[in-house]
Amino acid sequence: MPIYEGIGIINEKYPVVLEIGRYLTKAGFAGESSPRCVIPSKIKTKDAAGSRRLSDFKDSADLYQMLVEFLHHLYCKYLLVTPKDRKVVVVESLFATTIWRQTLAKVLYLHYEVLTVLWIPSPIASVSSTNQDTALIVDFGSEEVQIIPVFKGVTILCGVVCHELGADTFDKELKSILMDNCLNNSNKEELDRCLTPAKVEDIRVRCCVVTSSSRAAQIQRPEDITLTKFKPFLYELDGQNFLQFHGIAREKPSEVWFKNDDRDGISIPLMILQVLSICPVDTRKPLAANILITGGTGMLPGLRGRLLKELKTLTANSADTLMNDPVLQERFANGNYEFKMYDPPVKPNCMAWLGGTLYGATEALGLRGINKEFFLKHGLIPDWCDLQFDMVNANGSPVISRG
Amino acid sequence: MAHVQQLEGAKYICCCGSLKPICSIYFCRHCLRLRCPYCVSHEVDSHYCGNCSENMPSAEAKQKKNRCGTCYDCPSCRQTLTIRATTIQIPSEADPAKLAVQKLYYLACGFCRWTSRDAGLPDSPSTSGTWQEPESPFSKEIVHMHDYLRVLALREKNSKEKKFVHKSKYLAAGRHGLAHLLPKRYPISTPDEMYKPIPPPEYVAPTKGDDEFQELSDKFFEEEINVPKVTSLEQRLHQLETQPHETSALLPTHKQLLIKRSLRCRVCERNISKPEYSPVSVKFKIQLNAFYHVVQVRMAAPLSQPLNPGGTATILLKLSNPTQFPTSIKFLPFAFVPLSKDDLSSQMGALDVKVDPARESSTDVSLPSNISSPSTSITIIASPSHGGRSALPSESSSSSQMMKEVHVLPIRNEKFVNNCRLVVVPEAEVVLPPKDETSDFVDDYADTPDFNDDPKLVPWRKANKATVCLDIVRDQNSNPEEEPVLGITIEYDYVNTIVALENKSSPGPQKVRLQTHVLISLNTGYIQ
Ligand SMILES: [Zn+2]
Ligand SMILES: [Zn+2]
Ligand SMILES: [Zn+2]
Ligand SMILES: [Zn+2]
Repeated sequence: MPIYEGIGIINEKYPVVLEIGRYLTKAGFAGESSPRCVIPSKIKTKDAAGSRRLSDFKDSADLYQMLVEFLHHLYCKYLLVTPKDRKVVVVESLFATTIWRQTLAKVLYLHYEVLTVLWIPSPIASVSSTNQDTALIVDFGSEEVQIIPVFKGVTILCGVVCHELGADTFDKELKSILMDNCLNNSNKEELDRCLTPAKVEDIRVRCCVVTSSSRAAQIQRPEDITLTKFKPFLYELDGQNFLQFHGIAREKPSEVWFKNDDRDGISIPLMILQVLSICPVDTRKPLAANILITGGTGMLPGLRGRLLKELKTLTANSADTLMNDPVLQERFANGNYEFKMYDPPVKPNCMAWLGGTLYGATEALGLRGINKEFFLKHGLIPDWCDLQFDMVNANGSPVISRG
Repeated sequence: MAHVQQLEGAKYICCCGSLKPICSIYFCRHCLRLRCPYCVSHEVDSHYCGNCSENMPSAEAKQKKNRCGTCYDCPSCRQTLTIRATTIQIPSEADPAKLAVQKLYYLACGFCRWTSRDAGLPDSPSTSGTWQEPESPFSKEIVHMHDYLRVLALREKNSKEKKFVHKSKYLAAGRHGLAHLLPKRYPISTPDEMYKPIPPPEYVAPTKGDDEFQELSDKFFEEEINVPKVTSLEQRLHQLETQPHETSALLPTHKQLLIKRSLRCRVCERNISKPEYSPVSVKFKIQLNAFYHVVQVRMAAPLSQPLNPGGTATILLKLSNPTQFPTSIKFLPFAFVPLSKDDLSSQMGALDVKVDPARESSTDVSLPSNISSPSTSITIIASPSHGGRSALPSESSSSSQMMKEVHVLPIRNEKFVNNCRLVVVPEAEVVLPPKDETSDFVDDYADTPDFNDDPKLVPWRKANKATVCLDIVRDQNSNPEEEPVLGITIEYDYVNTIVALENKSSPGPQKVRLQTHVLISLNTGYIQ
């Protein structure tokens, strides 16, 4: 069993590691290699919808109640431990809103009376689960694709680039392609009703792939799109009803990530180059050689190979695709860059969580965690975007410099 | 039962401001206050398996990752797997020429027909057969990473304990205030330690170029995809160790345990609910449900016609006394004041003063205007008019208890509507005899002692139950869209036996006067 034996004192309370995402929540214990559970970030409701996403909160009081209920469910159904007096590691998005952090902190410290919480930004956590300290993180979230450079353990915040290319955008694209490419049902209204968000997601997870660049070129030419090249597939709706789709529905949706000709540059390879060009010149080559893919949508088969291929093509000596952007053209179209990608020990969707569990099992939790007393005294938790926490005292704990 | 007794129709207001029907609210016998699932702390009492009903000690449960040792879940549909037997014929040990029958076992799902053979697992010769379980292919590397980070963190801790190094300046250089969170590869410490090299990590994640991470080959696309053979997201997320892509890689997992919870009052830190240890028992060692301690109030009959703003009606309320002691019930105008951390100081100073009307309007509670008595958020009151009874706890101890409640109780303060009030507050009290377990089976009215009731107030009574008749009026300016809700405060006697049990010097059970605030939905519908 992969329980980490190094901290095997039987009475020790393993810290809980939480990563509450917009779509899924991962929870488990420090020192373990995979989360105990990954569940939707939702609470049950009595109304017709049956559930509510945590991210749909109205105000902080509403969020507070939802988080209380959600964490209760998490602790009682999955973690099966008493929350009180147990340490917690929270892996959080770099761009978590203040209202979210403050409310989550209040729920953890006041309602659940946890002792100490270590707040780790997810990029730092993701990087530490490679055991290196430099990475260009390409995070495929549910809303956005974020590219976050981390160099020697420092997040280069000014270099972060995000675009709405996450699972939501993908699913929208996928649905419109599915609607147009159904072979055994042409009734659009009926298709629209069958293809619920859950079904579209299921098709993305099970059927979609990131195709090769040569086939991507074929997708652009209508005369090449034939059923012999793009084999159709059957999708079961409910045991009796099947939908048959044109094979192109498997390969075309992921092309939203690779539209290099788009003036706005919303292709992931171009975003990567943009980020590199913002970063200090000394960091560019190490970052390019340490690309790290995180996030659940980043698990589509073929993604890593295609991304590397595209980057290579874009930066080849003879490349002319960067013409739209003379700065990128000058900096990168010289074949000097070698792009490499991490082969991490866990699947991309658990990268950040694993970082949290690595920290949680060490002394870092006690050293850098924010304890209940601090929160009760100051009523807030330190945040990188809040300048009053820019000072750190001799104990390594943050000091409030004003107010 | 909830339906029969219309429990949703009468909601009790917990100290924390939650609205609950009487069956899901608790009564702390030490604090003499209502508590609800929201404001008590929940603790894990025992672990058990929901399938085989076996208990597992907490230490063992932790070691087994909260999974039952014998039961398995179907990796495909999460139903419980059953063990099936099959027989094969093998050469007998005694006489190789003869064939002997051997029993073999495999796991099968009765729901989706998945079997352990689908996963390529060999049949086991014993029923407790060990079927291969999913394990992270990188668990060893992850252990190395744990070790390495622990060494780093330990060094950082040691260096911090030597306090003479000025780190504040150095760390402040860490950009963007993330300094306190950064993984410090080379923690700053004493000079000699600084130059001591940290051994390189045993494992780092390798990076690979496009020669190793290749695009999907054309061959990949030649094959037609068989969707049922690809795992769904749910299946992957239930096998987090490997998150397989093909259903053939799904492996049976041990069933996750369930827990029994005990509840503890946050104010006095005593249990208010503790289940029996045995998983098959549905009984409790301690169960302080308000259903057994607090006077129950509900509508005896629905309103005969709709109650519009400004309208009046006569309602029948049914009261019952669940305790072993007689009680005397008095109706009061609604006097609930929510706990609030913000104006703790003002409340403390103003215990005997009328509640500030400005604050009331901010809490969405429309209080009746004719509050005659000082209303405080304390439900325990010392009542001088009942001189013969011991009125405990005293005013000072109840205010200190309130102080504690404000500090330790999570405050919820649910919004509610209260748009009806009593026309006249009845002077008389309604005496209810104790609950007699056998009374439900005796159909004899002759036994009912005479309580000298005013027949206009108490038209009916039997054993520990009585019906009262109250005139109510709906506020003129209430929203006609809302349903009529009567907020009422009832004051009753409670005999506290726990004091006598715990404190030998105490002369016996103490009788106290308690207040409870109830919102009664006058329509047959529920309070939303
Ligand atoms: Zn409560
Ligand atoms: Zn079991
Ligand atoms: Zn099954
Ligand atoms: Zn109590």
